[in-house]
Order: sequence, then C-alpha cells, then structure tokens
Amino acid sequence: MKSGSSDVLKEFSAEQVEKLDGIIARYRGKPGGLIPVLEEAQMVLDYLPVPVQKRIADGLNLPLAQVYGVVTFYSFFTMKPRGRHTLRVCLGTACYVRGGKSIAENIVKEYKVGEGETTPDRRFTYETVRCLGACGLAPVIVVNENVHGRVKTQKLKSVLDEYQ
Amino acid sequence: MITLKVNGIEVSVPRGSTILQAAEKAGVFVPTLCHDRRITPYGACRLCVVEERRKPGSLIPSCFTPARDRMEILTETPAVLEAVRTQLQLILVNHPLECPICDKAGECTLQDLVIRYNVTEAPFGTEAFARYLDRRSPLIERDMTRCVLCGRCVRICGELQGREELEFQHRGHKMVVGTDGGRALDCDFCGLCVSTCPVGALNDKLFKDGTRVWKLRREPSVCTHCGLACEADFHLEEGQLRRVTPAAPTGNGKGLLCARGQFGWRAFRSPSRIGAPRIRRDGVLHEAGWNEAIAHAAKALDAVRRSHGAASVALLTADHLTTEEAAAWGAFWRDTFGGGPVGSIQADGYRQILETLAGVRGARVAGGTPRDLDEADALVVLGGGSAELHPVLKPLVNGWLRRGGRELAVVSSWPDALTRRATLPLTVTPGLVEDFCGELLAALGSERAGAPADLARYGIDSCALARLVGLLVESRGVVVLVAPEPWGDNRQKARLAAYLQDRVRAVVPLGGQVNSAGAVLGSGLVSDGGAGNGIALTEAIEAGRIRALYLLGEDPLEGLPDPQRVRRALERLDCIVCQSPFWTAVTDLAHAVLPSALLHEKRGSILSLLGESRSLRPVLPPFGQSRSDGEILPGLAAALATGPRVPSAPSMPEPAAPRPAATPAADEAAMPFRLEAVPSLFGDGILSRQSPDLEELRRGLRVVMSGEDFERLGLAERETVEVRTPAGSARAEAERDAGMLKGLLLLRHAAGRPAGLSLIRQGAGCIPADIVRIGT
Ligand code: SF4
Ligand code: SF4
Ligand code: SF4
Ligand code: FES
Ligand code: FES
Repeated sequence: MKSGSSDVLKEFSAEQVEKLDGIIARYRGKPGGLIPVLEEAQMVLDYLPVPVQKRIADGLNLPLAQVYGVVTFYSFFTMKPRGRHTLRVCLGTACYVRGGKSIAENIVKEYKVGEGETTPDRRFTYETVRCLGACGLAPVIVVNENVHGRVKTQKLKSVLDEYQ
Repeated sequence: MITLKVNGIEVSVPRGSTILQAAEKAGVFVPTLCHDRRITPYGACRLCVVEERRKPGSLIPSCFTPARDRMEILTETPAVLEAVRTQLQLILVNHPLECPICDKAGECTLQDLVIRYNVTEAPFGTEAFARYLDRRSPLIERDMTRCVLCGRCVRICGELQGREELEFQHRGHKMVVGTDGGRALDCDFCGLCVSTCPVGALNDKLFKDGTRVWKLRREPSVCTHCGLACEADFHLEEGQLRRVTPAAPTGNGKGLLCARGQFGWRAFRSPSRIGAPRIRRDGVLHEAGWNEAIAHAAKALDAVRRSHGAASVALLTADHLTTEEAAAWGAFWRDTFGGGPVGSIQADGYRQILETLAGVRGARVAGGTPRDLDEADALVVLGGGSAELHPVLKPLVNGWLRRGGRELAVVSSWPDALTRRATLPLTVTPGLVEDFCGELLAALGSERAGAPADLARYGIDSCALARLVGLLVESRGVVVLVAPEPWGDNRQKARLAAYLQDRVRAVVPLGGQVNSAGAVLGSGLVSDGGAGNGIALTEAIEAGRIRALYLLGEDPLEGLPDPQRVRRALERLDCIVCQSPFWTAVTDLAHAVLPSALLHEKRGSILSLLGESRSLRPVLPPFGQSRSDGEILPGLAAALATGPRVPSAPSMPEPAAPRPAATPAADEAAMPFRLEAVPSLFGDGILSRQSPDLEELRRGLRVVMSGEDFERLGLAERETVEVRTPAGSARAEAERDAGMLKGLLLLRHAAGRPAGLSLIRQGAGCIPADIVRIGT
C-alpha cells in the first residue's frame, strides 16, 4: 500500500465520498471508464488529490501509476483545490508592455500565490495566459467569465475586492 | 517460414517475425533505442528505420513491422542514415551531455549511437530541460533529466514484473516517467527497469559513482539466493565484485533477475563472513589452524559415535553445496560415518515434496523445465507464495500470460503475486490449503472427478472449483507448481503432486535452495529421516535420540519456530559442528566452526529447480582461510574413517501433525485473527539475510492485514503494533493490503528474527492471533 487514503479523504464530506464511491461503482469493470470517472469525481470533489486517485485506482482495479499518468496528462484535471474564482492575467505582448507584468508581480506579492496556484484562503486560483484577443483593452485580466480591461496596478485591489 | 533479404543477405525467419529480428538473424546491425527483446515493441524512437528496395523513400520502423516474404530490406541507404542522424540530434536536444559524470558512459546506447553515426553538430541546440532527480528511493536513483522517454522501464515494469510502478506523466516537454505523486519507489526492486534503461536515467545505487564501466570484467555466473539459480553477470574490478546484472537475454536465457539477484550481492562479503576456523576450549571459541580444527571436530564427533552411535548425529544442510560436494558428503555420511538423519531447514518443504515425487529414493523425477513452463496451456499453482519464494517466476509467468489464451489457476489463502495475475484465483480459507489439497486428491483419485465434499469449509466458489478439477483432468498441457508453506505441513500437497506427476505435463516443487535439486536428485544429501522438520528434530534432541549436529550452513536457531525451546534443546547437545560461511546465532554454541566457501568461490555444478544444469567457476577469490565444503571433507573423512560401526537407525519418528485443538484454549478463542507466516520477496534464506541492502527493503518484521481490519483498528501507515499469538508476542510494522480476506494476518520476515519465530508454530499453517496497539 502506498498512501493512507482514509486520513486524507477526511478533507471531503461523507456525502462527497459516498458520491465518489457511487461514480466508481457505476464504471467498475467497464473499459475506458477511467476518464469519465475522473471527470465526474472532479465535479463532485473539485480536485483530485492522490488519495482520491488511489481510491479510484483500487475501485477500478487499475494501477495507481496509470491513474496518476492520466490526471497529469490532461490539464483539465487538477490535483490541487481550485479557488472560488479563477483569475487570469494576460501576458501577451500588448498586455505585457502596457503593465501586465507589473499586475502579475503585484498579484504574486499581494495575494501570496504563484502561477498556477491557489491562494491559501482558496479565494483565487491564479493563472497567466498569452493574448486573449482583446489587445485594445490591454492590460487585461479575466476573473471567472468577466473581462476587465485597462487595469491599473493601483486599481487592481478594488477590482478584485468584488470577488470574495 | 518466410524468406527475405537484408542488405542482400538472404534469411529465413518464422512468419510473424519483425524486420528487426530478420536483420539480427542476417547479422546486420540496426540501431535501436526503445527496443528490448524482453518486452513488446513500442516504436518510440524511430531509430530502427529501414527502407524497402522496391519502395525507396518510405522509411519503415523495423522493430515492430512484420517481415514479409521476399522483402528486400536495406539498412544503410542515404535516406535511412539521414533519418537516424536527425533523430539522434533531436534526442540530444533534451539530453544533457554529462557523460564524464554519468555511470552509463561506456555502455550507453545513446552514446554508442551518437559515435557510430558520427553526430557531431547539434543544429537544434542542446538545452536539456531540468527534470526531477530522485535520490530518496532505496537502491535505484532516477535522474529524469537524462531520460529519453523510450518507455522501456514503464513497459518492463508493467508487462513483465507486473508491478506498474512507473508511468508516463504530464505532457509535451514536461513529460517524465515516474511514480504516482512523485513518491519514492516502493516496489519489488527487481531492477529490471535499471537493466533496460538505455541511458543513465535509472541507476543502480550500489554501483553509482564507484568506478567506470570499462574497468570491469564481466563473468557469467548464477544467482544463489534461491533454487531458480538465474543466470547473472558478475562485474568485477580487480577481483572485487562491483555489480550484478541479468545475463543478456539470448538463447534460453530470459535476462531476468529479482531484487536478491540484482542487489543482494553484498551478502557475499558481509561482515559476518567467517575468516578462520575456531574451536571451543574452556567454553570459549579460539582461532585455530585447519588441521587442529578438523581434528577437534572429528574427536568430538567420534566421542558421540562411541557413546551413542553415529546415528545419533544429525546433519542439516542449507543446500549450498555443489552437486559433486553433496554426493561426496552424502557418501561420507551414509557409508563412512554411518550418520543419522539428514535434512534441510530452509528447503524442508521443497525436499518433502520432491522426495515424495521421487518416491523411491534417488529415482529420477521428470520435473518441469523452462520449456514445459513456456509451452504449457495452463499453470496450476498449489499453495501461496510461489513468486515470493522465487521472484523471477513473476516475470516468467507474466510473459507467458501475455501470449494469451492461457489459464493460471492459483490455490492460496492470501493474495500472493501470482493470485493477483490469476485467471482462476481460488482463495482458500486460511489454514486449510493443505486439507484442501488432500480432499482434492481424494476427489481426483476416486475418478468421480467430483468436487471436494465440504465446499463451504474452504470458501471456494463451486464454479471455480469445477474449472480447477477440469484442468487437472484434461491435463496434458498443464504444469503444476507446488509451493510449500514455510514451517507448514506439506504432506497433502506432496501426495497430490505425486498423484498428478504422471498425469500432467510436469510437476515442479518450489521452495528449494540454490542446489536443493542437485543434492536430492544427485543422490547426495537426501533427507533421510527428515531432520529438517523442526518439531521432529527438537523432540529427538529432547528425548536424547539426537546427541550432536553437523550443520552445513544451516541454523536451527534462526530458522525454526519457538527459538527458546530450540535453544534449550541445542544446549543439551554433546557437540555442534558449524561448517558455514557466516557467523549466525548458532555459531555461538558450536564446538568447532569451519569457515566454508560460497558457491561463487568454488567450482562445480548445480541443478536449478527447473532442471537446468549450471556449471560454476570461481568468480570471487576465496574469503580469508575459508575452504569449500569439498575441500574440508577429506580431512574429516580420514579422521573419522575408523571407528565402531553401530548399526544405524537413522530415521526419526514422524511427529504427529499438529491440528488445531478441538477446543481452543481460552486465550485462543478470544483472538479474532488468524496469522500465517508467508515468504518474503526479498528472501528468507541465510544468504539473503546477510545482505544489508535486502535487509533494508525488508524493514523488519511486518504484519499485513485487510484494509477493513486496518481501518477498524484505526492504524496509521507503518505503525508499530504488538502481535500476540498463543505462542508468543512481538512488535511488527503494520501494513494493509486491499486484496486480503478480513481476519487474516500475514507475517513477513520472521526467519532469522527470534521475535518473529516466537509467534508461530511448526506445522500449524495458521495460528490464532491478535493485534494490540502499543500504548493502549
Ligand atoms: S525495480 Fe522492478 S518493480 Fe521497481 S520500478 Fe523497476 S521494474 Fe518496476
Ligand atoms: S528512464 Fe530510461 S528506460 Fe525509462 S523512459 Fe527514460 S530513458 Fe527510457
Ligand atoms: S529468482 Fe531466485 S535465483 Fe533468480 S534472481 Fe531471484 S533469488 Fe536469484
Ligand atoms: S496581449 Fe493581452 S489581450 Fe492580447
Ligand atoms: S527501436 Fe524501433 S522505434 Fe525505437
């Protein structure tokens, strides 16, 4: 045995774990079931840490290494909890020269979050992108589905305060 | 057969062969990087491209393209050469050129190909992207910056070892090969991934940074850690062993080793090697010369012979003698000395089954060969732990299964490695495998081919049972492997095996030490009187029927259950002679200690338990003053040549088979678990226990239980718990196994540990047990 599943599964509610087991049970023994199980599991649990993968691997009778390989292959799957909001900063050429870089640095500093990471309070998951095709509005940030253009570094906090 | 030409050379190959195989047969070199003949072709590197003369310009990867009749293959056309060079340049983009500090340099496929194809420019730049370096894992270091993503390790671990420890992860330039979550390796440590890696990405830590490969001399030898006696290459530098690798997979060789073979070699020079003979004078062991020591031993044995007859001396062998030595020792023991019972503790189960098969002592047993195993339609394994006793069985059986349409039936009470691969797993109630074999024999023998009467008792599904019986009745293509239980009773298995041996293709007893087969079938040290059975031996000593022990590398204190009782019995003996390579627990009680050589230090032949005869040359220099068992014998035989010949009655009464008591004692009834001692993948024998590296993998005494029990007890991973049985109690590290039956405990690594041995009983199969958390 490789990792103690029960302890870490405590992060999730009993109801979530039950749902997970239900998903696994529905696909058990069906070839090609892994990806749908992972998709549905991520809907229920938001993210797929190794203990969850272990439970899925045991349940589907697959090697854990294979499950892990699939989870890391597709960027859709995540092993870390996502924040309540997804914050994307554009670092395409136009945004970069018009202040995107300083916005990015500011976020890292003020919200204590690295690229691709989630803030400790799970408020934001921070990502960078290359050009959103809205260069006229540069620098651009996107929070969830909302595009904010011409964001000044000083105004950043007030924009983000809308998202708690 | 089809016939084709490779570079104008005509070859015939069986239909279905690849172009690469045809080229090999024609003696034409084709570069490969991701190919290993032990595993399925994969087609990752595209270095093996060739052209067909009639279709110029279309490049064919030869490692997985089947050859067709009348093909004309060209391997060195300008188009091929350019493709290979470009491909190598592309691989170098992501490969650091650190050959001066890479242990692989000198035997690196990539380096060899770069030189061979004269790749001198790097038009694409060489910007190796840093990837992880794992130094935490035992025995294997993984430096992914050097990895060329050929997938050989992934495939060999999954396809052959069946472990699936490694997998491709991430994508694009971030792709690596690794474990889930990036943890350290926690696997079988077979080393096959190291042996297949074409570059320096997977390294043998025992070898790393020690020397350069071109300083090594390669000597063919064998692994002596178990009875499979796998072929291995020993790499020596000025007489010092630096590493062991699987022999090249050519001819009959499969190119397979397990952890013991690959990483267990430091046992040969363990600090416990005995350098000089010792004799006991005034209660203390003193160093002595050989003549003096032999005279001392002979005198003590002679005294016992005069007082109680030579038949009161028992001989125990670890079966590490060559066949020639075993024959000479057997002749001496029977004819010159007239000694008493002979046996082996470590190979007791194997010998019991083999000798039952041989029936008449010394008769030839047909046995099973690697070819029988290869060509079998079905394998039936009686008893758990087969691939733990002989780990290379695992890749052998996995390779065999992969060819499809084969049935693997495993009768076991616990999920051993082969049960997990079985197409027909038969999980028997713990402790009842022996009874089940007995009843199966009755059912088969009565020709009603019915099912054993009381199925519920064995916990086996009746369909599964019917399939098993079907296999054994329609049995021409069936090979039966019989795995003895350590310290268990194996008589029913032996009888069933004897019944089956004329009806199936082959019966192979397992559990033998490196040359158990040679000792028994070469009519050398046959188990007369069954001295290897711990209870019989202890009782005979206690009753005064056995007065002295001659130990050929064997140790009852380290190998028998109930070590306290065994110690008290041994202390009663008039004389113990230890002829052994290693200091072990019993050498402290010896009257004379005669340092013997290891098999790698001597010349002679051995017989693997698959009937392969292997001849050994000394590949290691002698250690200290040690002598081979063959060299020690003449002096001893001369000293004991004359003496009173008391008519011998060597045999010991068989101990009554200990059956579970009808009404268990109160403490037993309250114990909710059943504990079974099982063999360790990393070896339970004295030799394997001498390896510090295997010992590290064992991590002490371990107790395994079902996930459900583990969670119910609220245990944490690797928590130390107290295991109690009616026989004793001991601390062990708890582990869980999702595939296990509830209520069963497996005890690993008991051999050589008094605490572990004190938990079990000889012949009991299973014992009631309880788990107590420490500090509660
Ligand atoms: S040592 Fe063996 S089991 Fe472990 S990762 Fe390598 S091939 Fe797999
Ligand atoms: S570690 Fe070695 S064997 Fe495994 S993929 Fe990389 S280069 Fe190939
Ligand atoms: S299976 Fe036995 S002989 Fe083969 S490498 Fe392992 S221990 Fe050695
Ligand atoms: S560069 Fe930011 S939107 Fe184009
Ligand atoms: S050897 Fe054929 S593709 Fe790698």
